[in-house]
Amino acid sequence: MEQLKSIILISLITSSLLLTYALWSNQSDYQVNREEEALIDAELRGGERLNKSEVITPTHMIARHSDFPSPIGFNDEALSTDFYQRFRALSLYNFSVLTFSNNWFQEVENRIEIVFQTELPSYVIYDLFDVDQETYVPEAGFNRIIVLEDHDVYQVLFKNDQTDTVIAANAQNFDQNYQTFMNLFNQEEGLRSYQVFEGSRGTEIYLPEETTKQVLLFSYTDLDTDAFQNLLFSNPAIVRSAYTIGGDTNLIDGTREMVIDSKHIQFTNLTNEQKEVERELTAYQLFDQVQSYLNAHLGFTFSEPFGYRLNQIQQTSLQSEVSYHLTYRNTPIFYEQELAEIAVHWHNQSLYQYKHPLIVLLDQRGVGQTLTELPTAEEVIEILQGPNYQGTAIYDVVLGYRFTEPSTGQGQVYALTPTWYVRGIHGFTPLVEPVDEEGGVSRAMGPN
Amino acid sequence: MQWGQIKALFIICFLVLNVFLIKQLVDRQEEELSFIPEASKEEELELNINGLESLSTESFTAPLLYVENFNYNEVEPALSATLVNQEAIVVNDFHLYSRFTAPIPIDPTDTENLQTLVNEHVFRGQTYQFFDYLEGPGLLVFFQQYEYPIFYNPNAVLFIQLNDQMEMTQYTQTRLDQIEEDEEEPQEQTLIQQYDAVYRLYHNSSALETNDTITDVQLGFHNLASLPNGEQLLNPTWQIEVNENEDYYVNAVEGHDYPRQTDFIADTLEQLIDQLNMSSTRAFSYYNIDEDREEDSEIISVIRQPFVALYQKLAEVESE
Repeated sequence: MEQLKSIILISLITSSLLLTYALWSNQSDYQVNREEEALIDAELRGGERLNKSEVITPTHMIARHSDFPSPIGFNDEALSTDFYQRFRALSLYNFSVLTFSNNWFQEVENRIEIVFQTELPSYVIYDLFDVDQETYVPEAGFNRIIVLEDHDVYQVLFKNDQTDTVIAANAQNFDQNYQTFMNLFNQEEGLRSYQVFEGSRGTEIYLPEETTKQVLLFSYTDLDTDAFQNLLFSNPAIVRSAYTIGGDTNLIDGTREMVIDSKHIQFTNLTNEQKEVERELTAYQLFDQVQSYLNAHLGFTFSEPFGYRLNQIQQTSLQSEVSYHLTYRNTPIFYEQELAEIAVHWHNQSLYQYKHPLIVLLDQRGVGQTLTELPTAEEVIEILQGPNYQGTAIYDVVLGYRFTEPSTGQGQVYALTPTWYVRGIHGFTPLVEPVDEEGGVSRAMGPN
Repeated sequence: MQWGQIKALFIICFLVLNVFLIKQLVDRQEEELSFIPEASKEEELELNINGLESLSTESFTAPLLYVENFNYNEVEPALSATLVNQEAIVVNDFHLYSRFTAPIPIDPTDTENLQTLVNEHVFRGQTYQFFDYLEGPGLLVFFQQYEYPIFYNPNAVLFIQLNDQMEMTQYTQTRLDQIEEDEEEPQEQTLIQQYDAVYRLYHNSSALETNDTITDVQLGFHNLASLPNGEQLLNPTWQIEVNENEDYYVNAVEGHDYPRQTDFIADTLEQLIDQLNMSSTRAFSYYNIDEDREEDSEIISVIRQPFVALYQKLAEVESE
């Protein structure tokens, strides 16, 4: 009996050891696989990850009040950041979709308006505000948020200037929050007045009365083009390159090509040009996927106080594109596009085309040296009402910057010159000023 | 405690431990099985697509080819010697146009004999493989081959024009040449298997439909991007023929599919005709021009006009 027990015990000990070994080997295979999956993709050195809310920043944050002689906005960066953070902390609920046949809310005397550079899909509300994921947000687009004080029915409206569709929502502690916001608009300093211009479809466009005329000079650094080659070609070792007559460099691997000039790279995956209907995305999904793609390789290359702002989410039957503009202290830099824009064409849920600037602006140089001749808000309105813009759609007017060639002797710098931009059906273009009677352009500006 | 009791206690403990370990192992294996979607996807492919059994299970390798445009003027006098009974023009070194002084009868449906005639009468004809015969306009289309055909490459085609009597009257040709520095050590690539290519076409590209039949698979080369100096990198590519009438192309290294080239023949012919327009940017070289012609350049319009008529017929057929 004791012998039998010994045999059973020995066999049980042996089998438990074998089973433990089997489990162990199984576990280690699993870990190896996980490690392989976790291989890090190529990244751009010095690049940043930005979440969706960081690239969706407003162009104007305006308060309208019966006590104010004109609309008021922020001139101080810290104040505007403080306001926007508080605004985003609003806890929203009770969303509904409505149709307004006119802009009646523009008659409401006391209100706050937040205007964005482009139409945003409503699902970004989840990214921007404190909204429970369970809360239903209707599907629509918006480019303007209106917060109404003391309105009987509505508190927060998400309005698309291009359509009559509006999303309405309620906010927790609305009165208290509204008062906090208005307190920020009642500071003695850091504010500026705005002129109002009625744009196409009767929307109100805000133009700051006080503007900077300072031309800013910045040192810069070039990005390493090899990083793009390693990132964008599946086998960089086989890539062949040659120079064009214009001095650009072309790289190919038989199915992809990349053109590098002194300002930017343009990559194209030629096998992914045609869009397939079955793989179509919503505007939000497109934005989400492109944002993830850029973040995966640290695609936002900038040095603070520069940043990137969402410029446009474009969906047509032929192309799907998301573009971002470089900003300086939240002021957009529209031109030259090659230096200031990241654009991703995203077809069939993967990359088709990628444009990325090759310079990163660094430190400011030569402060206070040059001033540009910039029209005042009143002059801009006059121009917009004049013959140059007769019959032209005007959706927004923004004071931004443009890259200009620095004059010789200023060294390795790029200049940013304040410039008025008008958003029409083809996006933002520089304000076209009338030619003066002496035969020149009245100020040194025009479409680039 | 007695030693016997201790043994009994150990037996119970190890028994419990073993039961626990066995359960863990079984659970893990079940978990692994549930993470193998490929099996079901393969089944789906095999249920919906016919002809998979004819696919080769062999592992193939093929090189990446670095090529450039072939310069016809550099092979003179071989070119003149080859173009017997032909008047020819070379435009900008890379485009050959040739007209037979006496048309050559052919049977376009007899591809074997056709290839023999092409080998005999067309400059380096043996390096071109028959691709298509467009009966309406009377056009034979060949792709250049480098052991395998180079698919849809405007710089590696042969277009032969036929007259109403089924005779070859003239042809135009472009060709690629391997870059010398890369000839010695071509970069041999391990290719995805034919089955994988069909799998990707079905699952990733949604190009195939239920009950489609794979009727042929052929290896070749494909390229979509050229450098400004004309250099190209040819990628090994599987040509998958479906239902004997449609071809799909899958990159045999990376597995992605290529866009359909529906207008390739018309577009390429148009470009080749355009090369015959007189322009200061074009250099014309003439070979074996009939001495009776007043000027060598006369041959340009003699060759161009029939090609223009061919293009118009092609456009008419396509619009129908």
